[in-house]
Amino acid sequence: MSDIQIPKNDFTFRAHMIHLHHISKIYRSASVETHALSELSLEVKEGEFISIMGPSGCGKTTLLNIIGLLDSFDGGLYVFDDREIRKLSEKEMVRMRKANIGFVFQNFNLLEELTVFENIELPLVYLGMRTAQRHERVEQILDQISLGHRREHFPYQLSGGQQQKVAMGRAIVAKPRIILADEPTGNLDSAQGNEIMETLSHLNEQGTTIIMVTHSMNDAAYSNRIIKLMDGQIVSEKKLMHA
Amino acid sequence: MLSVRLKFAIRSLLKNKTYTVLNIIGLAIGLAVSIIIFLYLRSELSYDTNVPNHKRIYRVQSDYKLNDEKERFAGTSLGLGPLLKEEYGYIDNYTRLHHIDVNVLFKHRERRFYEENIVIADSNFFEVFEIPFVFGDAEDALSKPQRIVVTRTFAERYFDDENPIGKVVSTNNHDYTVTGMIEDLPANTHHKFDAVLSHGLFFEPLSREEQTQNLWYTNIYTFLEIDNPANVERLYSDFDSFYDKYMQAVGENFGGYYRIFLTPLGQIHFGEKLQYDQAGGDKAYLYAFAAIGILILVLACINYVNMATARGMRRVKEAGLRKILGSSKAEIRLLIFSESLVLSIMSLLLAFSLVELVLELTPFNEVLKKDLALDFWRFPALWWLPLGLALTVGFVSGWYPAIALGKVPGLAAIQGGYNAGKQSVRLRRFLVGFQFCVSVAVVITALGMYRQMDYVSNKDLGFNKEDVLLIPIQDTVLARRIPEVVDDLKKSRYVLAASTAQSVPGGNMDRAPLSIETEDKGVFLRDVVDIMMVGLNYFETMEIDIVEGREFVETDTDGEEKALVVNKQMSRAMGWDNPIGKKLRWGFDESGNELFEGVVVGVSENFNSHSLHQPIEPTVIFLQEKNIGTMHIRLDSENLMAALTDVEKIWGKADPKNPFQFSFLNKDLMNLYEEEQRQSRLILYLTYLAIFISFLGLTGLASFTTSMRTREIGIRKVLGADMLKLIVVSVLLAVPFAYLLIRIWLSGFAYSASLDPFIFAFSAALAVLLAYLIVSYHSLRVARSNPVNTLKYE
Repeated sequence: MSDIQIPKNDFTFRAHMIHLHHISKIYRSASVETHALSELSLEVKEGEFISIMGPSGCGKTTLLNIIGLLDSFDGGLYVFDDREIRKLSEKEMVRMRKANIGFVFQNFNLLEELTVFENIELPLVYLGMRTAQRHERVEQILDQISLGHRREHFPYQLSGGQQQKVAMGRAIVAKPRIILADEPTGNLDSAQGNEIMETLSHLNEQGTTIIMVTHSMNDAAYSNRIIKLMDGQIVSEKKLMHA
Repeated sequence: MLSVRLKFAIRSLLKNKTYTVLNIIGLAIGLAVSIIIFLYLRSELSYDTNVPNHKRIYRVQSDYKLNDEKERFAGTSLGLGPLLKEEYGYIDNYTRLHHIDVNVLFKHRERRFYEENIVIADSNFFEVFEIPFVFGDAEDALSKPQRIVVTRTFAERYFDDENPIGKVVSTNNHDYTVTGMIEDLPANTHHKFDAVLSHGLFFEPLSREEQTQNLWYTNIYTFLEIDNPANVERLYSDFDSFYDKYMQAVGENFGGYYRIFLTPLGQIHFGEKLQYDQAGGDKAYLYAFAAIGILILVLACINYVNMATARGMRRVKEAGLRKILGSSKAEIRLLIFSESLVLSIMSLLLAFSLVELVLELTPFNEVLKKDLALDFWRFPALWWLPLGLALTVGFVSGWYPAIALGKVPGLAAIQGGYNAGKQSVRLRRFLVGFQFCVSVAVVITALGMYRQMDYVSNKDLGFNKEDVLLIPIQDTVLARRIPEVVDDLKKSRYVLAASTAQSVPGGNMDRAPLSIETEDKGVFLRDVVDIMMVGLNYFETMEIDIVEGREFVETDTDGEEKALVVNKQMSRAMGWDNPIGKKLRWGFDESGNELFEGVVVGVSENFNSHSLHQPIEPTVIFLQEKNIGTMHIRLDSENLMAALTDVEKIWGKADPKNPFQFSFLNKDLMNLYEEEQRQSRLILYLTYLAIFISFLGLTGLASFTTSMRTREIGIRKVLGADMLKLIVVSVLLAVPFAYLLIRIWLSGFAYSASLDPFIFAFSAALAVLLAYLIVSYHSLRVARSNPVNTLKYE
């Protein structure tokens, strides 16, 4: 939107990794316009662990996708690391996503024809990393998620929890600064879910920013800020203090 | 990086084994057909290029005009070559060749074979045709009478692997010493032979007088070696004075002129169709085959695109995910392209194996009279052209899915909200429809061609072509003995009838100007008609009906007024109410007056004296015993072998000098349609493939459609109705297209089978039925599957 100016001298923009200012997203079908997000503003500092909650259709996933540079928006301003997203070309956007963002999904989304090792390796291939370096990095991740013994297995040979661990491994292998997780425990039993949440929490402690969409209060309790959405707007925000 | 991408591509292909296998097979067949057609065209378009100096060799041919009728012959007289060489220093060399048109029995110890392709040539034949010798010396191989140069296959028949030089093969009357061996001539040789006899027996050196006297004949093929192409034009202009010097006097006598024209050796086969030539080719058919080959390749590509886009739709989610993981549009496209290329390279390897299999292990070459082979060393284009083709096909067929999947929005794709479907479904339906349309058209065309070939071999020609043995009568000495021979033949209980004629049905007929009496008594009309010279009992031997009057009788031979029989067509053309007794005159003197007169004594049923490519012409049949021409003997069909032995014995007695040579009329007649038979066979093979590929396509589409609609309850109805509508429309579109194709092909025949609507109905119904079966099979499979599995899958 051309009428919105970036307040250049405002230091707060520099302190935040992500700045969303009056973001709107409208889905249009033949006869209906649905406002998925309306004038939503949000700031995320590096190292935060944010949970986004709200009823179905409130715009959680849309918000996550816009943050993850996977979806466009219709109005407002999005600044990531001091760069205004709208001004980026598609190539620059892909490069920024590859370098900074990892994704974890509710239904894992592993590639069926690739082994555990290859699934984890894939983002590094797209980053253009050398083979030796790539393999070393994947080995580290396999150690980290304790799935070294399953490296040659295909996704269908793993349990749900193991698949989500592989998906986690894939999300963090390129050392992203942010992990976007869309209901990461939605398809898991509680024990497996807790394991995943522990991993996310551990990553956060090491400095990775985490933004997670969830329906589970239990999962949300791992974060340090909970944002509630309703009809595409933030209706409440709560900071949590951890011991 | 490349290896990782390749690994991903191969994994992805392995993940969809059925699709991959269908894709590879379809594309491999398409490529194999293209390779074979490439080999076929290459062979067809390089006739006689195996002769190293083919560019310097020209065949001299005759261009006549007699009574305003132009005739062009492939042959010339025996004397023309030597006279031209003598007159014009720029003609480097000449040589002459004569094909023995019948089988010759050769013997070596216990081995006896009838040889079909024997020629007689001048002693310098191999000086002009620089064909390399395996054994022997090209220079003097044919320098003396009763020598023979053989091909490798010929030599192996009689002498196995031994060096044949100095060995002797014999006919009934002569021994020939082998003086040279060459490799087999390639199939793409216009004047093909298995052995060459030295010239002594057949064209002994002519006196100068004889040379000039027979210049108007066309009984031998003459080749000139001319180094400088400009001299060909020079020869044309010089020929005017040659004509004035040697031929003008005779020409003026009967109102004709004669010119020569030259054709380079390499261009003879596809050149102008001339009388008395070896079977030539027609470039139009080559273009047709090339078109069909391309069509089949297009069908195979369509299959590939169809299946690849179908698979692509299942991969929307994967493409979306890859994008999310950092893959760019270009990388996704590269992945799809590399998959497509891997597939096309695999198809290419399979295609080469298929080609090798077809050429080496099936009678393909034999049926098409070709010697096609995957000779990569000789034709480097054989590997790079198909490779280029495979890569292009891989690229082209990867194009649509690559573009479509590149555009997939990452997120919507993995959330299932993206439907890449509609457009690609429409495209696929169009492509499958197109495939069906083409296949049905090809099937109808092939059936139509087959029907015509069947018609040609079974058509009532007006005579009975079965069991008629033909023996050439080589010289006048023998011709004089024919009445005795006939008497002897009549004594054999296996010989039903025997006669002679100057020409054989299907061979070249003579034409001559005649004065013919019209319905008004005493009023004559001049016209040029077909003429035949036949012996007594000809009509009985050939089983040609006499519809009016009578056939020739013995007293006709010495009657003052010559007896004539005309065919019904002649009677009709002249508008005669009562043909018997009509007079005909011929043989004009210098002042144009007729020298001879004859009277019509009978009218025969029409019979096809030419091939069915040409209509029946008005024909006058003269009685002439002692013909130099061909003996026609009707044999007892129950005892053919015994009959043949009897005839050989009787013939050997009458003609101890020449080898016993014979052929059967029905086989000779079928040779007239050899080219068409080969074409219809090739078309038939291609048809099978087109059908196979189309059904492969339909199977792919049906199984894909069912897999996409596994949750639909009314699946059978929806799938069935949809697909069948598509098939019916394509089939209806195919019918006029096929009708046009077959009409074009049939236009080459004067007599053709009627275009039976049954062929169209049958092909259309068959296509719809098969399509219905395939679609039903897939629908049923889904309908009968456990719904729990379906839901779980979804």
